[in-house]
Amino acid sequence: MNNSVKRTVLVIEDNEINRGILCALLEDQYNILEAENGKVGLNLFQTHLRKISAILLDLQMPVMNGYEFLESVQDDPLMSTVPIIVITANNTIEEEERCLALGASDFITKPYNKGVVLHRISSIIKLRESVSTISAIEYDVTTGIYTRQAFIHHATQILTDHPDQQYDLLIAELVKSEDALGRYDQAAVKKMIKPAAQKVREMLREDSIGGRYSEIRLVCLFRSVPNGTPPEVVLRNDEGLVVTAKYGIVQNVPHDIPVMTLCDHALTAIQSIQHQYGHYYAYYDKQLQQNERYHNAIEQNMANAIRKQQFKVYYQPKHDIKTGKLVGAEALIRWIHPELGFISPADFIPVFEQTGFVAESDFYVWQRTCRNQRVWNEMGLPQIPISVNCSQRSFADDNMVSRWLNAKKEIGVPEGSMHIEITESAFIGVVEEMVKKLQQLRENDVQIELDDFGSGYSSLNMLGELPIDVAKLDMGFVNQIESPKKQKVIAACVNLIHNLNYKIVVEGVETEQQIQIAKNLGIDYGQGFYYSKPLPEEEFENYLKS
Amino acid sequence: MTLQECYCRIQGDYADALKRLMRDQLIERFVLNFPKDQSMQQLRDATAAGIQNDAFRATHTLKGVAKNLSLTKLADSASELAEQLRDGTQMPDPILLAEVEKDYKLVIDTLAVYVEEKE
Repeated sequence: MNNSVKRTVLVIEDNEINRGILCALLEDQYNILEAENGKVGLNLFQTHLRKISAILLDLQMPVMNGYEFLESVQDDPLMSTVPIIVITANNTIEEEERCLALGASDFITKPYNKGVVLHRISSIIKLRESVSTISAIEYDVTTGIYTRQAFIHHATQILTDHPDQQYDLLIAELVKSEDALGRYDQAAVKKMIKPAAQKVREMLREDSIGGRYSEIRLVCLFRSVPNGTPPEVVLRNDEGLVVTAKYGIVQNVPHDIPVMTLCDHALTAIQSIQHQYGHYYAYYDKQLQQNERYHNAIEQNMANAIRKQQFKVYYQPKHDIKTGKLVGAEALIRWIHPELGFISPADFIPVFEQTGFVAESDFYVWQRTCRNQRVWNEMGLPQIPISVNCSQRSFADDNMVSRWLNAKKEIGVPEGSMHIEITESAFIGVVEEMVKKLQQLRENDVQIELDDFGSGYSSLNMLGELPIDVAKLDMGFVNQIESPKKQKVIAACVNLIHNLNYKIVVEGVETEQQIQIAKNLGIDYGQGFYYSKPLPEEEFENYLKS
Repeated sequence: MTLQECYCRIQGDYADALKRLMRDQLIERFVLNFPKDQSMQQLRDATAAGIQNDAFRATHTLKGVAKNLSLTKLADSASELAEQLRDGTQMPDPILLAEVEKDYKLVIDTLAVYVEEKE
């Protein structure tokens, strides 16, 4: 430790004699701040945060005891970096464990021993200073503004200290412009973030603060300005490099919500305009709030949805385009929640995918469909294959193949009755492994349908390598059938796929005209409202009978 | 009477205090402040008012101060009482409390003599 600077230690102990002794032991080597309870200590800590190198904390105190003090400090990104040494009289294991869980660094026991006390403090300060210095935690090196931790600490402080003042929180996310460097490498980020941070500094007034939230994001908290002009969208640095930014803004922030959550709200706002060209500002408004709540409700309810049998499996028929004969169906998941009502797949599928829960929901549909196939077979209904969607996340699971095949085997389905549908995006990664998995499935009587064919760019490359049976053309493809030039592209595609011996299904056929075009192109099967909408199990059963 | 003799009379451990605090003046400065410490009075008040938790806290503090000053006899009796009160549901056991009072009185009286002689 650099001995030329006298460090400051905060001593929090209610008993005057004990505190006096402790201070007398320390006074030669340290500057001392004294507090007679946790509350006074916390105030001193906040005021002199930058100065304090360590804290000695008694546990049994009136007004605010040591545990309560630890609790109020542990979640603060800056205060929690200052080591706290707890003074105990009986050092029971339970007591020590509780303190450590609350962030205490070390213990000293009463009665005080000068040598022990001084050594403990000295080594804990040394340790902390060797790991980091407070200034490194506080200011971002590149931009000179607060780091994220420091911003959160100071913003929390401002919101607590000014309960009646209105504040807005803003996050700016830099968007790479056309002439900027190709990707976000360190040099490019530096060039972009610097002028942006400069702008932030210029914008800041009294009790407003700014910080670097992440690589390409800046965050500010400032007093609400009614009808104030929004920040500039285009920034230019010295070299004339143009940087654009997208802003997420939370207006009139609630003072009782953690700053981290407010930042999440601002990010949610940015997220909502992420892929919208020409949109630069988004406010965290009621609509977004509702969306977020809905999203959270989905996340909280999904785990129980299987047990409570809220998922329903619908079946959309596939027909032979030439003969009109029923040749198969696709299983589709639906969620009917007792309170939330019918939840759209467009809402819940992305949440399932993000959380990985999709592996469970996909498997549920698979099991359910296997059972239905068996029952329908036993009823003597016509036997057609049904395809079940297997998302990228499900497919990536190492146990997927064995899990699905085991279920199929246990339930005992008729031969040729199960297909899976995967999308091109499932092939991101090691192609050999994918191929191995697909082969394993095919060897066990599961045909592979490649969904959304033509929506990505990888499949032409891999098409020859993939052991698949059916290619499905997506709606976007079908909808362009009216354009003669695109028809040529599709015709070439159809030939290519047929040459590889795959069948072709076109999804989303709605009109007689589309059917005609598909027929002329030689497409094998069609699926869509022209034939039938997705049907619940009972209705599909009747459909099979007819 | 020297401070060491004073410690002898109240069954304290002067050597231990010196080993820990390292300076004679420091011991004297704080032990002479001991009569001003409020924890014994707080223990009596809590006992009279029937507040178990406060009784424990006061005893706990008294024990801590006595230990810090190496007033061993008092620290021991306070420690025994603190253990009896620890769970916060009981009032002080009269016998243990009397023991603490006796040890406390001995310390206060002896210190008074020491101060008087010194002046």
